[in-house]
Amino acid sequence: MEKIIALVGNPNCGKTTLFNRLTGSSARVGNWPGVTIEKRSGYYRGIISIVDLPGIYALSSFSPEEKVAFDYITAKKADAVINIVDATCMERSLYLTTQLLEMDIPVIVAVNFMDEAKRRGIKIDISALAEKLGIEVVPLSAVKDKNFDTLINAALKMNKPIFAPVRKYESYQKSALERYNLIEQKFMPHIIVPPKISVTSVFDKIALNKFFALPIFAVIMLFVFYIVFGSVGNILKTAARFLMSVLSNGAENMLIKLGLKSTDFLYSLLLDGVFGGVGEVLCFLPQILLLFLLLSLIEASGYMARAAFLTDGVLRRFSLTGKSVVPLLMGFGCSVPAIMSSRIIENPSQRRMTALLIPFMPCSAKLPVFVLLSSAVMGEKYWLAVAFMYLLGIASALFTGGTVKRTLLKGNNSTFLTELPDYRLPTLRNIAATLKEKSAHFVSKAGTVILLGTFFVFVLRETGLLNFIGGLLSPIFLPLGFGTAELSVSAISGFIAKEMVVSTLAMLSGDEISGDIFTVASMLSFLTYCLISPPCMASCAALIGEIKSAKLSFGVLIYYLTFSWLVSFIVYRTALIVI
Amino acid sequence: MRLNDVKPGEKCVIKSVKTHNTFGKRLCDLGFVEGTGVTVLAVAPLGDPIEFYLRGYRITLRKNEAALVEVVPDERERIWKR
Repeated sequence: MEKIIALVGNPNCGKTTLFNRLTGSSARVGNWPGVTIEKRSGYYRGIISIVDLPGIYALSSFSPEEKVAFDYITAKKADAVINIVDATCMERSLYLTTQLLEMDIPVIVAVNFMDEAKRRGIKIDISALAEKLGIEVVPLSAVKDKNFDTLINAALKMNKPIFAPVRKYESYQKSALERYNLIEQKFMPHIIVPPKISVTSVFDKIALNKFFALPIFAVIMLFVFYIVFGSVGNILKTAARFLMSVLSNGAENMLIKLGLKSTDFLYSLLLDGVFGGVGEVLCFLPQILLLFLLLSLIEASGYMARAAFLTDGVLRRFSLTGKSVVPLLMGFGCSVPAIMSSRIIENPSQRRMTALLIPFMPCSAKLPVFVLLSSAVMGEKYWLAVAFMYLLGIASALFTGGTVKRTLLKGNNSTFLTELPDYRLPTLRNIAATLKEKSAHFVSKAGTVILLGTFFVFVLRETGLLNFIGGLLSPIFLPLGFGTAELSVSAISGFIAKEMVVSTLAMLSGDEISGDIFTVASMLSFLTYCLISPPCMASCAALIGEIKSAKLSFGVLIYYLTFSWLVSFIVYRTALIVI
Repeated sequence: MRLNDVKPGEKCVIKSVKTHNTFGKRLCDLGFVEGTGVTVLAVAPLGDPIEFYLRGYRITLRKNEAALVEVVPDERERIWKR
């Protein structure tokens, strides 16, 4: 029978990094507690099953992702447990270790971040610790180590531990005290921590400074925005455009050589549909990758936890918590993983609230819609419209959160118990893995969902059904300033995937999207509608999965539809007056 | 004295956790037990949450959460300062 080894440890101790190294996977990692929210498994050398679990501080569970780990460990499904401990905070890490030792399953301890501990002058006597714990202890650097055979073999050879259970009292406090006393007396003498340890890094002295902290947060966000939509992003976009036009011209020449005429079905399907529609979407790949690159740098550095710490005071006023910042910022990338990462929030109502607000975020799939239409209408100054969309997305989320707080969710009993991890340099391997995964996801989405959707819309156009559907929808959108059949259908096609708005519009309006179909006001109103509603199929599915209530999901969908209409209406009418 | 009364840069020692719900249990698991020394590191710009240092790591709590932990000033620290 195949052997199963489970990776167990405190949040942010490097379990998933080790998992990726052991199994050759590229599961999401980040430098903040709670990145892993689900159990996942892979194979080491193709034979030994490795299970990665969400981080836990103790064998008790308070949030859903902790329950995943707790249930798995207590069900004793694993043949052995590798307990990963953080060398820089041994005392707290050993609390879980002593609980695991009482579990009657083979356990070994892997001490991660050994190099970091050494740098800080922390000395760990591995062999003495192993003797006191009565189990194998292996030093580890999950990032740098090349061979993990010693670790795996040690885990497989391990017998069940012999460990006298720590005395339990009626009072939880007393039991915890007893356990910490044991750790202090028995294990800590073998770990030398320098007395004068500088705990706050230079970065934090600035990043968490009373006066500079929030401005610095704003500057970082603006910098991301500037890189993606200004300088670098523009160059990448122009290059991608050029490449696509070369490809498109080549394809056109080939089709003409094959004897096809511009009125033929196939000719128009390939040029209008594939190159005009899907190609238009693909042009945004470099810019979207740039956005993901910057987001992953923020995640890997450890700043994410600081952002949560800084914004907690503000976000609490909007029925959210500082921890909501993590899913919300991830929502700038893609709603689906962002919605799932809302699980790091313990309080169920705040968790739901955060998940519900994520579709308001201007995700990377909406980026092509914003950029393309605003530059068609406004030319050079397009970034003004894009910036407006980003602010409007955030404002809509906060408005909704604030309104709900005042009406539905009274009282606030959430907690803000989180760790601020040490700053770390992102590893090249992780960044490369993220970019590879995002490109593969984007290209496959363009090649499947968007391509099929484009075919579907193409057929609708050819058969004349499009005008019929558009005619039915257009009265709804007439007050918003985009009541034509094409625009109505384009707006609705965003449900399939947000990029579809671009490909549909590109296909319906020939090869170039010209600014003539819009005024500035109607363009802003159209973008607003795409920003807020309706969320794409994938994020709807993720949302329903996360809030687990059909009634609430339905209500939320109705809210998205009405709210987006109202906001677009307000934007349109205001723009008509102002501009 | 409660943990939220301690000023940034000051140290104190935990006496007890004044709640027995799941949150209180979580605090115990994290090492907030009798006799543990805690240093207040930083306060977020709006005065809440607060960052603490204990048992070799850093953790953040909201003001009202810190108010659930009863502490006494660190005597050793005071003697040392004198």
